[in-house]
Amino acid sequence: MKLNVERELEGLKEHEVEELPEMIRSRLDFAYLSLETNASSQIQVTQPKRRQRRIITIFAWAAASILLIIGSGFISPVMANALNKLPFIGSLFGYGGDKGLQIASEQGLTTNVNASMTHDGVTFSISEYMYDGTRISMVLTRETSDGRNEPLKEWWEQSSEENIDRIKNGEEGSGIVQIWADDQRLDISLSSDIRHNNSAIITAEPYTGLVHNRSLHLPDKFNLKVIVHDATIQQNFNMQFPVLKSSQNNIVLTSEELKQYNNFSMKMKKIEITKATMRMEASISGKTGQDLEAFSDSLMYDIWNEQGESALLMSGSSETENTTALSTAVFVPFPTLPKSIVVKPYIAEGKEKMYIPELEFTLPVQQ
Amino acid sequence: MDDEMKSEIIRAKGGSHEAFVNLIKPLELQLYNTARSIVKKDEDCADALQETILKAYQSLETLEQPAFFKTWLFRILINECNMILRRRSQVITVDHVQDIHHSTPNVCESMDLHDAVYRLEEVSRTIVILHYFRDLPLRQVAEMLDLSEGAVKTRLHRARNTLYEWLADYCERKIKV
Repeated sequence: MKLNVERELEGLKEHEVEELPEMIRSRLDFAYLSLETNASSQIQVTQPKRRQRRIITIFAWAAASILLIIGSGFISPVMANALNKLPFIGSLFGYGGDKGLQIASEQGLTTNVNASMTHDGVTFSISEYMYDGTRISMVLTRETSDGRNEPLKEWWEQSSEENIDRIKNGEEGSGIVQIWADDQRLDISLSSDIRHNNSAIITAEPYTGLVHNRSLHLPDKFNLKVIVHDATIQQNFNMQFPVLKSSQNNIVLTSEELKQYNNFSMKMKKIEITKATMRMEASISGKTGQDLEAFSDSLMYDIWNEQGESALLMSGSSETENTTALSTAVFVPFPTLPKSIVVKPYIAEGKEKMYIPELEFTLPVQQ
Repeated sequence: MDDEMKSEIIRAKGGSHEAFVNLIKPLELQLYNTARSIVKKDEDCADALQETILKAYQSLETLEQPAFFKTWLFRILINECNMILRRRSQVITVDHVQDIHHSTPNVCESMDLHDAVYRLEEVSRTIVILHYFRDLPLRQVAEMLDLSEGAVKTRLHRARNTLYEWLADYCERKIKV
């Protein structure tokens, strides 16, 4: 019997399926739906390895305003849909914000403001803010004089597209939203949760980049200026208001300990805990020739309290340069201040978490 | 790549999920057929497709060249499919250990070339599936797997030799019987 493997393999060509099975169809539709509702945020939430590459610098300081993140709250699609149809009453933070903002709203740590500007029948306003030292979140609303109040999502996409067109044409991209503190433009990462028809919660956090200092470094009180560029009418909207830090007793944990795993070293640079945010920063270094970027990108983090309860992850990112990588992860703080916290790095294998005990950090929390 | 597709990619990179969906829709069948060739079961195809869509959407900003969108997307899909196969091979319940122990070395006895392909190591298996089962040219397989065409040819040659050895061994034993 003479074998001709190549010929036999050629005979194994599969027939194309020309119509998707119903089950596949519905799973695809679900995946599409999840992109526009909060499921997409859960992916972001469970996979905090969105890499912020150097390309961001092309967009100058306001780069991240282009990185529109739609829907990163923790409410169901049904709820989100219902919210879109209801008139906007009360605090959007309270029912549309992430868990940290909801807590801040419940505890009265958010502040109402009345900053607005009108051009050509379009009014932008900021009605509420929360600043806890780690991030600034604001409710931004766009209204039109004809009362149509188009969905902010569509406006944002259109503005983002025009901004990209400008950059493609060699002009400087201004960004859709610029944030200034006491006349100094902030180098920040900006995300936008469009939670209501014509309103969004925009959050400014320290930019994740090695060349940048990864804290906001703002005083407890300053004057905030928000400039929104509306590309559809080519107008800038300038809104200003005084900001006061809501939480005075932030807890900052640091550790000098260096942990080793497979020739990678990790240091827990800082964990800052406020009522609304628990922000972790870790640095990882490797040796020349090691694939540090692949390792740091694959690393994710859990934070446990002393009772083994896990904090809910909100976002995260990592940036690698040469032999050092910096990772950040932002969590919802525990309801009560823990006695100690354990940072547990892991690598996700599908739905499994492969914890790396060699890189675990236990930090006591001063009461 | 036409201008319309390029502009959809730019819109998608700017955060438009609608533009992203517009890019994926025309590729659905190709994606499904590819996933089916690798993982076979529809449930696994659905998992692989869903993960691929979500991961691609999430990491679209890392795609530097819009012209490589399709290759990039299929690369994500292939990784997801292989991840599922890896998981599947690790999930062996105690009850089945005995069966597996007996069946693993029996590639030759089964004399099923199709099954034998799935016992090749991951990269070679993927190359054989994409080239023979999916009828893709080697150049395209190389692009999808981020390998040189030469490396793909070498792997394919080795894979054919391995399959030949398995099958020849079977034939030999069968003739002796």
